[in-house]
Amino acid sequence: MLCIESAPVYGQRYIIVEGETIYQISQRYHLNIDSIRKWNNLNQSDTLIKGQRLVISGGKIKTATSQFVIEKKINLVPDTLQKSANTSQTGSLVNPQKRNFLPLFSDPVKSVSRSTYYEKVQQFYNKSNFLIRIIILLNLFFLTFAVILTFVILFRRLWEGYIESRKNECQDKYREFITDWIYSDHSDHVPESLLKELKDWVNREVFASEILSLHANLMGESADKLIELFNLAGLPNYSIRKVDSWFWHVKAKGLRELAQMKITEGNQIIFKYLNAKNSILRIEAQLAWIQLNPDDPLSFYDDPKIQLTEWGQLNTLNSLKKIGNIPDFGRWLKSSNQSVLLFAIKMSGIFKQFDNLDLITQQLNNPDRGIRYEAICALGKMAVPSPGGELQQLFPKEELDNRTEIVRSLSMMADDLNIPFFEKVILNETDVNIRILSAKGLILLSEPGREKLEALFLEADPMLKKIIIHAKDDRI
Amino acid sequence: MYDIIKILVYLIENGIFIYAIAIFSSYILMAIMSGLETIKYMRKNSFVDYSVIIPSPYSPSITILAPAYNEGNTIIENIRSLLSIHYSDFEVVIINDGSKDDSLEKIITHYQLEKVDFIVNYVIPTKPVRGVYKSTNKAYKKLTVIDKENGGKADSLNAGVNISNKKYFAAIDVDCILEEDSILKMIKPFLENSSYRVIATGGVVRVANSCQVRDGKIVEVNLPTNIIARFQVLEYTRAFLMGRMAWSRLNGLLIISGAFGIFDREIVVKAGGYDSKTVGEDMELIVRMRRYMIENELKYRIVYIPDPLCWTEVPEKLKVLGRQRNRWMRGTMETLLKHKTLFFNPKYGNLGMLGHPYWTFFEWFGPIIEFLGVFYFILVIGMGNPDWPFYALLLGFTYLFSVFYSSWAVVFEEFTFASYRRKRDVARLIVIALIEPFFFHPLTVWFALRGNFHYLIGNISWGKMEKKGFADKKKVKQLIKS
Repeated sequence: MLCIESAPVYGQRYIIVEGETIYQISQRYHLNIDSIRKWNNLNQSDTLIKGQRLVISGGKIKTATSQFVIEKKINLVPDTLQKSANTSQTGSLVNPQKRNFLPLFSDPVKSVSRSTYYEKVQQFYNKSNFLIRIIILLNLFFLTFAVILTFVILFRRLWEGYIESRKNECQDKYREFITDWIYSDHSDHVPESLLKELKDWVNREVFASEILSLHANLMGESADKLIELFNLAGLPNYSIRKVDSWFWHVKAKGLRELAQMKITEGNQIIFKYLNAKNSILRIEAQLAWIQLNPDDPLSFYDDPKIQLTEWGQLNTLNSLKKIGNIPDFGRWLKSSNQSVLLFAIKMSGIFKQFDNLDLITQQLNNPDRGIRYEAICALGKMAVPSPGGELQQLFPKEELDNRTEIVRSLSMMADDLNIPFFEKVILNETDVNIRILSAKGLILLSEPGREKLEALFLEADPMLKKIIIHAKDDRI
Repeated sequence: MYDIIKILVYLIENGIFIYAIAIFSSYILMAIMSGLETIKYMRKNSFVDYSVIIPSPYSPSITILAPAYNEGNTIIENIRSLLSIHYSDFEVVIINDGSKDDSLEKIITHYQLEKVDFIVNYVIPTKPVRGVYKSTNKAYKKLTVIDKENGGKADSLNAGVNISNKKYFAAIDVDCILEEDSILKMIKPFLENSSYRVIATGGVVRVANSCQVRDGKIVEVNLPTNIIARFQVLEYTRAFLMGRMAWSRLNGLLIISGAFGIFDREIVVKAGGYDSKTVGEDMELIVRMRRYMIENELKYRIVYIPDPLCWTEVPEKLKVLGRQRNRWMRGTMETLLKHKTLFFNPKYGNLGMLGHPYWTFFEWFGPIIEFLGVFYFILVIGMGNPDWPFYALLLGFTYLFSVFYSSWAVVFEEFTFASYRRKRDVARLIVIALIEPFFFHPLTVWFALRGNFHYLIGNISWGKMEKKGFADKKKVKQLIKS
């Protein structure tokens, strides 16, 4: 299909039309006259007659039309003999000159009828060139794959159904057992029969997940009892085994179980993963560490290489609230680790750790824009007026986003000293949003601020008038 | 003359063959990559408790932008559904794009709106805003309605971007049905990376036809009864679950469906907002945002979420489908031509070396080449006896590949979200995969060709006559694979 002049023709037969000579044929197929004579047992003196069949091998077609068309013409008579003549079936890659063609002219129709369908396909395959073979193979490949994929769905449905029914079978039983366990006074050993059942992984998974999900919603004595049950049932070993898995998601699940069931042996294992490459595994390890070490939950932040994403910070904050121990973040406000520093600034702001006010104010000079931004936000959250001067000084050096945040933070501080600053921003800035914020800042300052705004309004150009009206509209 | 024909035939046959090999291998590669990406996502997802985002000080603020044009019949319901989304710091902005019906009056009376003294900051130039409305009822505090002069979908979104002052905005089609936790799932990638900035996230669009909807929520997923919609289920599964996930892994995603995407407002504004002159504004914006990030040497990512978060009605009539596909093709062409400097430009990394050429060769030229192939085949028949077994083989090859690829997509769906629980539905999907190449596919090729034709004609005579954006009701966007 691809090549018009270069595709070789192997072991094909050709039917002579009236007036053709061997020379013409040899020219057309770029063949040696002698070879054609040799393959067909022809002598120099023999002439061709109309309808006579010749074997042509190793030639190249010269034609303008598509090769398929020519091949089709050449294939007028299928080479049914090739199989018997060339038992090695090596195909087109073998040098055609080495192949031994027998110039026999048996009746093709008869031989086709003799061969089975399968043989016909095989013949077609053997006769085809490399490209066609590949296409045939790919066809088979895709066909099988499509069928396999369909069966995969079927198999999955069946498997799911099976697991589901097994789970349903034991779930109610276990749930009942676990609830009984929490409320009974004499729970110090687990029945032998249960231990035996738990050797099966489906049972074990159901049992463990029942305990874990119940534990997540319980506190105090009942929660402790569940942990005791988890230990008595021998499940911690399986959690540790999960951490040793090849897959990160199994590892992470194991870490989670260790933390929730307060398995303190887990500390050493967890430690290895505190700065794991995989971000989810890393976060799970950090959260597990926090849960297992409530007295000093964030000690691993001292490691300068630790990496925190916002998602990790969000979850860390959540875990800290859960264990009820918010550490003093001043400890990390001098950290050389950017992400730890960011987190410490943010947390100091959220938990209003006023002792850290000076350290955060110092961070306003940090060369990193993101850190300055966080520091501005934190100062706003603390809403203490003292760093107002520093913020005002910083304002001209910053870009729009940090500027906007400075205005927002200053309006939280509700300090009359900021009035001239807001006035300057309203009059001189070009960004509409920051001017609106400043006007709102004035409104928040009650009497003196409002008076200032009214005074500004009287002398305002139409744009500024609109801005002030917008700022005063408290529905927006 | 003889030689010219010879060379032509040679070029066509070789060219088509190489093209076919390239397209098939890229599909297989994409299937593998999306597989890896999806497995990773599913595993990650099993550790995520999305509810922790809502009360957290870390949850970013977000504006939901929903442009509406003549949606009077459904707008009240749609707004209610949007307001009930699970998130903390968000506002809903409905942009009435100069509707000719009574949409605005309906919203005003139902949600007790009144005009407020809002000063619009035209950071991105748009058609003038006639008024901004807020509710007097505190229960609808999160709702803002913009009334503006008609300017198309892109223009409306720009107006919404101008008015919002939150960090992120979600662009959605007002008639889409969002899952309650959709914003939570789509916002999370923005929090996940510290080394580069996530500038946009996109979500899967699924087919809502024949699904049961109650109170603006999908309660039961069904396979559409309409055959044309059913073909599109398979098409969407393939395109979204396989194609886009693979591109997300390569960070070469060129399009986020206009039906649902979340964007970093700052980058959108800096890149210049939506282009109101194209019919493919969603694709064009992504390309421009990427260009902006690359040209300013900023590390960035565009992330794709495979969860079924957004459901939409797809066309059930051939005429509507034809118009939609026609528009998609024109949008693709406009975007690719507008950014033709990207084409094999190593400066733009995967975007220039993979994304743009892929879309040019396979999405734009694909239908044309396919059509030429058929044309050529007819020519060969006319010229003499074609080699039937060979053509049968080739046809079989293409067909089986298509079936194989589709069933792969069905398996994907089954292993990830398994939306279609009934065995009957899965069997039907497979039947659809078997017959699609003969019935649906030729149609999409034809529609795409018409798109090409209209683009050329349009450039000469139609000019910019046609209304952009709201050309028809259904606006789910280009698919990776047709």
